[in-house]
Amino acid sequence: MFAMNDQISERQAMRLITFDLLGYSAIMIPSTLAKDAGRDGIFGIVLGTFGGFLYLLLLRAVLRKMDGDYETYLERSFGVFPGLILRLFYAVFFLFLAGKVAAVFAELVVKELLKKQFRLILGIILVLVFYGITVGIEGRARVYEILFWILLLPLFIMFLCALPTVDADYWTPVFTEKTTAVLNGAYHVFLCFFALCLIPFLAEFVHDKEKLYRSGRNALFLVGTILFVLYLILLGMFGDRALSTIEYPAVTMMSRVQITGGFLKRTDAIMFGIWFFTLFALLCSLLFFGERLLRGLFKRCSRETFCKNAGFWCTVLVTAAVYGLADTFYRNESFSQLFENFFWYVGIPFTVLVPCFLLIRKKGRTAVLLLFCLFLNGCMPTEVEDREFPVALTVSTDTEQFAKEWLDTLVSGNKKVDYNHLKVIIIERKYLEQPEKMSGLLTLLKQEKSVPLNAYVVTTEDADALEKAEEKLDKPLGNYVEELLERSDEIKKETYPTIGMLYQEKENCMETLFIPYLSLVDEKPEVVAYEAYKRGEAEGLFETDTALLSFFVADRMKKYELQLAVNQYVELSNTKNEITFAKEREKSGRVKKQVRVAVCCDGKILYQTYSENEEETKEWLKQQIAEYMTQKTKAALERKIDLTNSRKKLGGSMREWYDYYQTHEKAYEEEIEVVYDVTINWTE
Amino acid sequence: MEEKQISSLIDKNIAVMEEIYKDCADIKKKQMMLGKNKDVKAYLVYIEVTVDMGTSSLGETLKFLNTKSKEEIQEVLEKNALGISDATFLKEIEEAADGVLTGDAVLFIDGFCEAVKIPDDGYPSMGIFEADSEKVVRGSNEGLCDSIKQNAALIRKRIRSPKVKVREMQAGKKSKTNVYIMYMEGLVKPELIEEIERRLNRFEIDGVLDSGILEQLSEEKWYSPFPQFQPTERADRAAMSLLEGRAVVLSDNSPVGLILPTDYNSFIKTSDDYYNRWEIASFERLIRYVSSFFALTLPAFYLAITNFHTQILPTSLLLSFANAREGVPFPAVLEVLLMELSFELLREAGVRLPGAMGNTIGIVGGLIIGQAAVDANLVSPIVVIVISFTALCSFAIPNEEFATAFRLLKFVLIGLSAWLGYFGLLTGLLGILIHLSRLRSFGIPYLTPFVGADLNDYQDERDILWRLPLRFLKKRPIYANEKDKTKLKFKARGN
Repeated sequence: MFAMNDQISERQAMRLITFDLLGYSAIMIPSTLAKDAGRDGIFGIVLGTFGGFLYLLLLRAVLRKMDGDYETYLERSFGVFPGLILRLFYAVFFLFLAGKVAAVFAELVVKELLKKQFRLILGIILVLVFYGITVGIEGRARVYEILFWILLLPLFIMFLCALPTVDADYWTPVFTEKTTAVLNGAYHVFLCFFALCLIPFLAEFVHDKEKLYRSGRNALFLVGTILFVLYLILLGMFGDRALSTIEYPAVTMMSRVQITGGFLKRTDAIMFGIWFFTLFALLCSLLFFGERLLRGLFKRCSRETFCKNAGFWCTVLVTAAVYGLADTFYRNESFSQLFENFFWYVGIPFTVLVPCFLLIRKKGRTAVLLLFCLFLNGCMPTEVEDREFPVALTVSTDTEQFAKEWLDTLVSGNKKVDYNHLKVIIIERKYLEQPEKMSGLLTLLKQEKSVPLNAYVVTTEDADALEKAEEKLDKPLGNYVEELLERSDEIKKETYPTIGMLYQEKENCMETLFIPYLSLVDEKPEVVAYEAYKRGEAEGLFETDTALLSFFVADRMKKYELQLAVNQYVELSNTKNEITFAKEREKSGRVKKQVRVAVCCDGKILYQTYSENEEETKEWLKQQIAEYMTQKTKAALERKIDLTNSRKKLGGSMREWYDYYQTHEKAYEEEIEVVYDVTINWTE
Repeated sequence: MEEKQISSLIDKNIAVMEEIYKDCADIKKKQMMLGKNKDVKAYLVYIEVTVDMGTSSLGETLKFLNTKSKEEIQEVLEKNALGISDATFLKEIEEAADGVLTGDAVLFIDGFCEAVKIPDDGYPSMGIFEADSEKVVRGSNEGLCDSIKQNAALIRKRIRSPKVKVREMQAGKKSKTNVYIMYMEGLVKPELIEEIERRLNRFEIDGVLDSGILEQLSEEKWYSPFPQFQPTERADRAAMSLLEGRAVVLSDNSPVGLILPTDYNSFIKTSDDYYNRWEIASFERLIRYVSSFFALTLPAFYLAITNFHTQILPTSLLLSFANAREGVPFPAVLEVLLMELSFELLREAGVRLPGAMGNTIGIVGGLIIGQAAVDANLVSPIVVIVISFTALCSFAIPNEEFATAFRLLKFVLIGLSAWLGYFGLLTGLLGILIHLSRLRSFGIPYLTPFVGADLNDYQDERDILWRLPLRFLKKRPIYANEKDKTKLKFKARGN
């Protein structure tokens, strides 16, 4: 019949290696790369993947020379004793790596899903891994073969859903970092592809070694491509500075993505499945090969027949060891750092050098572990009816006071407060105007993972008055304000600043956010003005018209109605604006830095007084529009606010200016002049 | 040794048979005189209801022998000229005694050292009825019955080929139940039949009263909740399996045939997947896959979301969940378990009660008790919806035995989700997946063809979540012998 021959197909090998590579790299690479190389990190991914490919070519050469398994080949090539030492090194290295991956895996579960009981989670993960190992390589390969599209399709769909939140301006400029920083990033990427070093050990399970190489290559390029796309999305979503400060951006990304239709509010918990299965795959592989190497060594050294259940007990011991290592990695920062240094400078170079030397020289397992649970306590959930779901949060006191109140309100009466459904954060203006308090608030909110990053931020003079007004509303204040913002006929909902955007802007310092200013009109909250928020500081109130112009320039208006004069109303829509930069020499010889905004849109005359010549009227209206925009922008510039947010575009269009204003941030608004060039396609 | 042989002296044989069937009132032992001169002593042994002395073959045989003289009777017996095709001559007493138990009549004749086993009506059985499970909209509803011979005939009726082979064996040390292994020569892998025989012969049990006993004793992974034999009550399904290169094990007195090897996908398929057009067949199969997933995970997912990951649901929906739970005295997990167990109780009561009363149970339990439980605030309406939907999903799984695995594992997932939320659910699902990945049915991986499709050149992938049009299903599945893989070819273009 069909024998259990411990052989896997090319497709199974490719999917196995893909899972081994994807989980850890997608979790670890983005933030590390953003720290190392910022926007140039994208080249780091390309170089790192290329490095991985070169490593694969090296392994291919070794695979071609191998007959039998890799362990035997090591002994034959280097001699018995050095061969045994190398095998021991590999075994220990794999087990430490398994410990590290297990620590990251359990920490991820604790931080993103359950928020407690690290040891319990770690124990459960390792019990599952133990079970996974006992089914052998064939069984595991089948699991990944089935899960491949079940996991990758939702990931691709999530990438597509994330696209509307991507701001391409964060991608530029490139080539701003030093070559060493990019190479550093590339090496990080290569390090995260450490699962490639398992390929020689996989050789005995794949009938054709060339097919194994092909599987590895295809898996590497697939994962490289996924990382490339993921990094671009994360960069466009957070900006490089904010990205570098987020611990697990790939997971955080999922909490920002809104699924069309609104049947799911946040998908991060569901999408967590991708990282769950991929990290499980890597952990299984490391433990499997680590245990196998150790067992082989014991057999080799003792030269005695092992007891019948030797394999089982060896797996139990190795799994227990990995539990201990993972727990130490989690609790002991210095131990973790020590291993990372070892990994960086010794481990990975070792796995590269061994195949190199090989070429030169040649040329020349269930029940026992359940006991873990006895030592551990369960996680007590809070029933849904025992939770309070606030939809609006007001911030009016100082940060320390707020932090205390925050912690106190985590339990409201006999109910637990669940901030997962927070819709609006209302910050009093006097609080907003104090940068150090705002910084503290943003840090506090960032730490509390349940606060949705897509909660809107609004400001008001008196938060208490707004709270009291809730009694006269037909729905909770948070829902009312959310609908107020989202059901606008004119402004696209993504225009309004969220807590995530505030946090990003604090790090990126690239644009001006207009925070809706609420006031009570007929005892109901209405947006009556906007507070400009720039580089982590409030810059004062602006009238609605000014903010709308800023939204219009950024193509964030569905339609834009203007009153140009008495009885002169126009509506602009389908905007396609473009910002360019130019130097203009004035008569006095002074060079003026111009920001040119080419406005291209459809226009409709809503109401006008009688005019005989329609064309003349249209031309006149166009001039009026340009004039209106210029005046508003000029007035804002005088208050150090650039309505066009043009500085964000500098990196991609005007490198020289970009470099200059990196060090002269505050001078930008003083030195530029904004010129509008309006083209309108008039419609009936 | 000599005592085992049938003697030419009939009195000796009579004495032995009388001893064997002492105190067996249902077994008739008749001494008679045959021949036209009534000078040949004969002895007939049979079970009362299995023999019709009128126009049956036994009656005809006796009439025929009454026309012959003593010498002629001797000659007829020696030349096997009784004029009936399936009379069997037995040399040993034990064979003769067993022959009676198979439902045939055994005739001893003085001066002849063999007994003649003459088949007649045989044991009574229920006859052929519509299959109770595996219902289809299109196609025959002829179900297997209690008689192994009729079951074999029902299958052979559908495949009229001499290549359909039936290997007979007996199982049960005391019951001596007839077991047939049916297969198609040339299509089946020979090693499969050897493996089936090996597994059926590796145990000795008093009685095999149903194929379920054979199934449990022959399974490789006895602890798995997933069946590794595919039980069927449908004759067309069994015939289709033979054409796929699989084997069917029939056990006497059981209306359930066992198809093997099998896999996850086979349990999700129904017979009319191949009788209906491919579009609707694919759509329905996809629905069954999705429902099998929900049957397993839905209550667990509900617990994970409401107790741990409330951020997933839109606020309005979550608040309606919370409002619905207001006043319910039990934690959500207990509420879900209570409802699930109540549902299982209704199901069990419905099965055990006679037909019409079974339906009443559904109405009383589902509508009246359910509504009263909601009104009394014992359970929230949302949990009733979740559990009902889960039950509906489990009904969509075509094979009852396979669906049972999902019913049981659902409780494991509920426990894990109540304890660890979504992480617990993922852990449970991964554990089940790992278990399925190591499960095999007579060497075929259980997850075929989702895994190892390369073994059959990816042909089986044409008939998994979806079913391609029949014209693209030209090759037999992985179970079939490599030498004869083609099951469909078009004779000429345009035909």
